[in-house]
Amino acid sequence: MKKAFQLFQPDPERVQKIQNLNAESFAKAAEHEKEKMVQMHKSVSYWQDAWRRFRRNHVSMGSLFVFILILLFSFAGPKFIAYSYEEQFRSAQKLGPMEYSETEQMAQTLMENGADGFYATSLKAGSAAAIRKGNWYITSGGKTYAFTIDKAVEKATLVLDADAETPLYIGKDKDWEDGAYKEVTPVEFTDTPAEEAQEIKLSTSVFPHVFGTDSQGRDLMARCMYGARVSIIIGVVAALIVLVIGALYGSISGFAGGKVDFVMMRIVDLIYSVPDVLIVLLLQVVLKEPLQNWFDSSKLGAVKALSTLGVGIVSIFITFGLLYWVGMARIIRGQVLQLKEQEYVMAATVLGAPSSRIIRRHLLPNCVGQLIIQTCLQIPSAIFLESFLSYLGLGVSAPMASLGSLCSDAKETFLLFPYRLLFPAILLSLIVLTLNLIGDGLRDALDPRLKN
Amino acid sequence: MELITYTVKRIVVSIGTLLLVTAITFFLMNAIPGSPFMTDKSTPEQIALANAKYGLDKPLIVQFGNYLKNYLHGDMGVSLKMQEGTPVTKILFGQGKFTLSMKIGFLALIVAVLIGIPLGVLSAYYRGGWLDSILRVLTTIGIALPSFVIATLMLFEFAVQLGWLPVQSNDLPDAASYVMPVFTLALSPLCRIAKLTRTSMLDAINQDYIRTARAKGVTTKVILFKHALRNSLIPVITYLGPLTAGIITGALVIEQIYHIPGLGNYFVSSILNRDYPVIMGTTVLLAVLIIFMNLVVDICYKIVDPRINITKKGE
Repeated sequence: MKKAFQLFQPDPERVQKIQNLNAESFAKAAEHEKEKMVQMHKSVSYWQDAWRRFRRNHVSMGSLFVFILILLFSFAGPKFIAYSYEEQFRSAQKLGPMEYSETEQMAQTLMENGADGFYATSLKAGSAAAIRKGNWYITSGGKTYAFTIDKAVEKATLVLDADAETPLYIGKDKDWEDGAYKEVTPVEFTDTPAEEAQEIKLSTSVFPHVFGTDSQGRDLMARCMYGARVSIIIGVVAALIVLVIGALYGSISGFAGGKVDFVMMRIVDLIYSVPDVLIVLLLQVVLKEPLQNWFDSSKLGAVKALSTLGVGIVSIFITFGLLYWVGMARIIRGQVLQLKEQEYVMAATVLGAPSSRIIRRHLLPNCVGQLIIQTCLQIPSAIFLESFLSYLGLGVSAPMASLGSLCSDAKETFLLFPYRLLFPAILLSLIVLTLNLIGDGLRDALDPRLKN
Repeated sequence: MELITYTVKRIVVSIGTLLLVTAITFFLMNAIPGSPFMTDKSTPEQIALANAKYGLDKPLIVQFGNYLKNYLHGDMGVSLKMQEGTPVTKILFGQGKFTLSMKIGFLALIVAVLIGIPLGVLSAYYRGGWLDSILRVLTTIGIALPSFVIATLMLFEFAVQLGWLPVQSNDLPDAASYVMPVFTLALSPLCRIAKLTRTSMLDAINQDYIRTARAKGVTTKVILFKHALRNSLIPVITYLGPLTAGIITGALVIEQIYHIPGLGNYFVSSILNRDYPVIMGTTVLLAVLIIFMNLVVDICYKIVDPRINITKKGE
């Protein structure tokens, strides 16, 4: 406003200049003078400005970088490792980080001794843990080896060594001694595979268990990736639930004002003072059976999708929907109370826009900074709560795993295998820490008035 | 006079919250399918008879009234599974669980306040310096670490590797067994208090009366500790309410990890065993504790700082 008025007031310096005009003043503008008129700085939008402020905050930028690394680890990581989170490897139980089991060492020794490839049934999970009866073929080095297995083979390794006397042989795990097989069974092979023959893919190296394995022989790194993914998704979904309910409730309360606002805010006060964790625990207990019944009986697609999540996670979402939106609602209400006095709201009202449109088009978009900050800070608190519940044995239930349930699984054997707790715990702490720091940085960037 | 109306208002709100919590607890527990009298042998007639005897055939709202009446008389029913037939009141108060948990919780609260505030003051006093930076990093990490992680790490380091402290605290026979549970419980609130104190100290430093004191030539130390600290402690007081809630929830995990047979440990077991009367009784007891603490804190707050308004607390 102030600036607009200044335009109409005489500027004493300009008046002075006008009085001092002479012929020279009407000369054509030189190039360097024209350059002055070129707009040197582009106007900076709200988001560019916020991004600039955020970028200058080293702590938040560092956190963002670490968090992106964690995202890559948990979402893209599974594509790069040979194990999945639920496969149990009998021969690789209770391994420490980067340790190799006996069979894995055996396979490595074979490769060092010049083998071209191996198929160790003990290193496979599920139905692949045996070579079934039937016709098989292998392709290696441009050659095809077709052979027939008469009896299913277990706990043995099929080895291909093209230069050796017996290029293809099966060695039993129990015959392995001091870096070599005591005896092996040569496999007869031909060049042309039978019609229904299936291919066996040979491995040439053993993928390490970077974080070790658990008592069931599951790869801990794969489980950590999976757990982190589940934890992050739970956090994001819970935060979105809070965002939707809180923003709607808060904006309606603030916009309506008067008695409606008073009643709505007293409800918020009441819910705010309810001890949340107690109710969460209670809900976890109570919702289990009804939810399970609902999942079992319903035929809706959406319900099916929910049932794959499991009762524990769904009740976490319900709890967030019931209790945790109040903080968001309060903040949005406060914002809306300020914003609704603005001229553009009055203009919209005068033009006949209905309240719902004013809230949607004018008020909420102007709270977007606050909405983002609050949602971002909600994610770590949801992850925290989920891990807390899972650690107590509620929350996520098997076969699903979250970082909290991984910690919980590890707690019994913690004194023997501390790393099983350390890896998920460090990951969990890093996620919570970085998200909190990113949230703080966002607050400083999006709402600079709050700073100091 | 204003204080009295405020107190009355606040008590009414607290009672409302308590009623809400009990109502939620009651109706949730009622929503669970099945009857407490259902066993393999019981016939429908027997169940109906038992229902009539315990008033479970009456409308739900009447049942809720009876339930409230019983609770006010100190009757919380009997345990169904954990200690079959023992009154819940006896389990909660008669077996030393409550005192055990209170001891740890209270100590943790004191530790959090007594260490947290000085750390916050130090941080504010040396703001921008290396001590401040270190403290800020440490407190941020302290808040982000889940308590079960801290607990297991401490267990590993001090009990297993170094052997200074006992692995299981049990029912706290000696001073050494207190150290880890109390510290683990206190760590996260401690860090929060330190952060809060720092921010409110820095806020206070920008106030006019500090400038006046400075203009009069008062030394920085006196300004900080005499003028600024007193006023900056007010927001810290409000945090004591959520702090109690935090310590109670923390105790659920901590008592399990250190094998302390306290209320939190028992509560978790009763949840995992689905012993409904015990769950209900413990929830209400803990809720009363938290709500009472919030009430006391709010009234203290009003006494310390008469400017605040009931509807604007905390934000």
